[in-house]
Amino acid sequence: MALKIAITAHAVRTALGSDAATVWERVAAGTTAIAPVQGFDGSGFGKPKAAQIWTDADGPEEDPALRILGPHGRLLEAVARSTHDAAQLGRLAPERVGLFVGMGMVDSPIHDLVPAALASRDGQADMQLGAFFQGGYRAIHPLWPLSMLNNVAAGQVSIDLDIRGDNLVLASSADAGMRALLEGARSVQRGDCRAALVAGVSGRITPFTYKRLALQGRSAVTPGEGGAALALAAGEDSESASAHLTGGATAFGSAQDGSGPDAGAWQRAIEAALLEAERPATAVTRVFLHAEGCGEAHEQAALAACGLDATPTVVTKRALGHTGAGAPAIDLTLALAALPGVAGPILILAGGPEGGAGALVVEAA
Amino acid sequence: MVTSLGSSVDETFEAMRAARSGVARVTRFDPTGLHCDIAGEIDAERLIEGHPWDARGGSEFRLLRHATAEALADGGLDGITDRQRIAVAIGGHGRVPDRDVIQIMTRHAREDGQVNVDALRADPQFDAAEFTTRSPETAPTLLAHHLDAQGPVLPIVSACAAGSQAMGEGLRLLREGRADVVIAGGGEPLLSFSYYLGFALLGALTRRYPSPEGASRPFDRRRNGFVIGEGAGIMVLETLAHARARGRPILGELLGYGDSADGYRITDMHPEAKGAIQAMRAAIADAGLSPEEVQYVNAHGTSTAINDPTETKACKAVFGERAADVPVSSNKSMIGHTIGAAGAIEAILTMKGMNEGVLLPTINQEAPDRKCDLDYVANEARLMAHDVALSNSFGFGGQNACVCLGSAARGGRD
Repeated sequence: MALKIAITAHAVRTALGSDAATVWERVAAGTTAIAPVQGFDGSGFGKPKAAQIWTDADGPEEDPALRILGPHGRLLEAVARSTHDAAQLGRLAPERVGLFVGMGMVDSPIHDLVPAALASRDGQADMQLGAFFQGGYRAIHPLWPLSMLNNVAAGQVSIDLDIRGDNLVLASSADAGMRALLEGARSVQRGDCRAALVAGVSGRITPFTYKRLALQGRSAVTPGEGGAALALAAGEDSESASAHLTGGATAFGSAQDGSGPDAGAWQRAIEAALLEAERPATAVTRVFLHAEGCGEAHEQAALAACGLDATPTVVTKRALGHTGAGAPAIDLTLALAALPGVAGPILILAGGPEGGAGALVVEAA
Repeated sequence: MVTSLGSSVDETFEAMRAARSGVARVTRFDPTGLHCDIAGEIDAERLIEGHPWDARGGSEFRLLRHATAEALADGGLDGITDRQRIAVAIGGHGRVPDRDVIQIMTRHAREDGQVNVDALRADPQFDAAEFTTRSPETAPTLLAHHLDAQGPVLPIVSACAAGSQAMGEGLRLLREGRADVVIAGGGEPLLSFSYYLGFALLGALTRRYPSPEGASRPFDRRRNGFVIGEGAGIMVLETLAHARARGRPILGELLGYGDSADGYRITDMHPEAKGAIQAMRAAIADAGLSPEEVQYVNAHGTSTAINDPTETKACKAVFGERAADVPVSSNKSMIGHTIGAAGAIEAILTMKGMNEGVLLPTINQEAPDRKCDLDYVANEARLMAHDVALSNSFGFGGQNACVCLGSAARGGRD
């Protein structure tokens, strides 16, 4: 039986805007937010580009506690609150609302440790542990440790919005973001929660972002910043919804070239998602590709094997960069904007560098 | 399983049955000057031999491999030809930047505290593996590769609740037919300077203790913080029919799972234990049982001022007048708090206890606390036949998870 989970509200923030319809128009028109990276000197990484929403133009966060929770946490809070209010989730018992989040890479802000370490240096400019423990560490904000924990931003959202039901935080790639969406849908389907707030956000782009991509052999990926949240419901709570999630699946299999999922993993995820949606491949009107900049051959081979090689495709990363764990939620909000213009379901794909692949089917109610 | 008390389930269990502590002075780095200098460190010399992927996956991957090798001993995944039906659900959080990274950052820091990126980039000591080991999904996905598991991989990052959530999500994967076998559990990397420092800064670690062994004292009036521990625990979950068809021994049954969010504070439990009560009741209901059928609780029991009386309140709310008759004990009194691994380790020990007819003790019970007035199996293990138990995990960030477990004898029933 097809999954039938309604999307009752959503919110998005990307480098091309914070309104799904407008962002979709810009993506469809070929507009891109990708530009030379700002906020730090990235010249050593070969003139890197990115689709950023956080730069030094925003100014540094003065409150250490907020700085430690990070811009990604505040973005999650913003899109979650908008969605929560639009879906009127506050009307429901807090214990019956779930929260499912795909969290981008949380880079512990080690810059916040540097002043303490500087105060503990010896003549060779190296930090001395003895001096550090004897008092230097007291210069570190006591909430700094929270930055190590990937679930803290979601915990803060549950506090601020009084969400107390079924919950899960997965990290940190696009496939984790896809799984968070799907697990939220499953929770609603099972009845473990009456409504689920599902979300995904990217990490902040830093020099470490490029270093990590280089080490993974994925320098062709252009990073982006952004996130989105959606409210999911079923049954009587979903009667006014204009779109449903009707199928979804994940699979795992790593390509020999290390570029991410192999064709088999993509194919299994796509076939299982369409099977659950009770839709043949021929019914799919658009495919939102993962297409992150490497590994596309495997994705394309899977599409061909599934009979989707002639289906029109969309690559949002050309406009928004790769927003990691935020990408599936962002793509889903843009697919909702695109749905009125198509005559059938849209298939959304997301993968991870280690070999996870996911597929999601969304269609008009 | 690997803990500070042993490199297998049996070793850890027998040490706990003897009420031994695995807590000692930290050896991974020199903690002189910090208000806490103890931990439950594992004997790294006894870990499974190294693997070429260890550099990429870090010590978390090695500990997970160690625990998985024990869980899969005697051909645990042999004969499963459809590897797409094997899922992996692992609680953890990746590694934090360690002292060497901070050292390098310091070396290239300007006087204004900002880092000279050009100099940092050119530093040959900047460790490449640093970045991959920090990603929370690296160790779980490498474990999936290692096992040729091609089903869903769930890297769960809900701090202290992650290990229990991994088992609970694994149960859901099986129930919904999305997998036939789930490798579920949690892993905590070997202690690092910055990780330890972080918990010290939060004020979560114990400050005063008569000895390392006497430091972790859940429910005792003199408790004043937790002791951090290293470890990993893995369970192989599969449906009863699938396990029987493969001729696998049934070690126990994962009967139910419940989770919740406190929605209160990042670092504190809800004072009325609302989230904990919700998770415990949900796990019992998910198992199709009533609170009257629960015979033992493996507590989260961290030895902090807030957790222990709050968890006591939760037990009273869930069990009502029976609460005083339901034994509750904390494995953390002996191995410390293994954070992302805790839920998995404690669930495994709970199952082993049911199968052995033994309640593991809470050690260091010397000064009763009037707010903690349940039966905590004080100081000595106790013989008691029991078939149904709960294992609690409540996390930083406010996530709560509880699993309901059944004994091997019970698990064989249809």
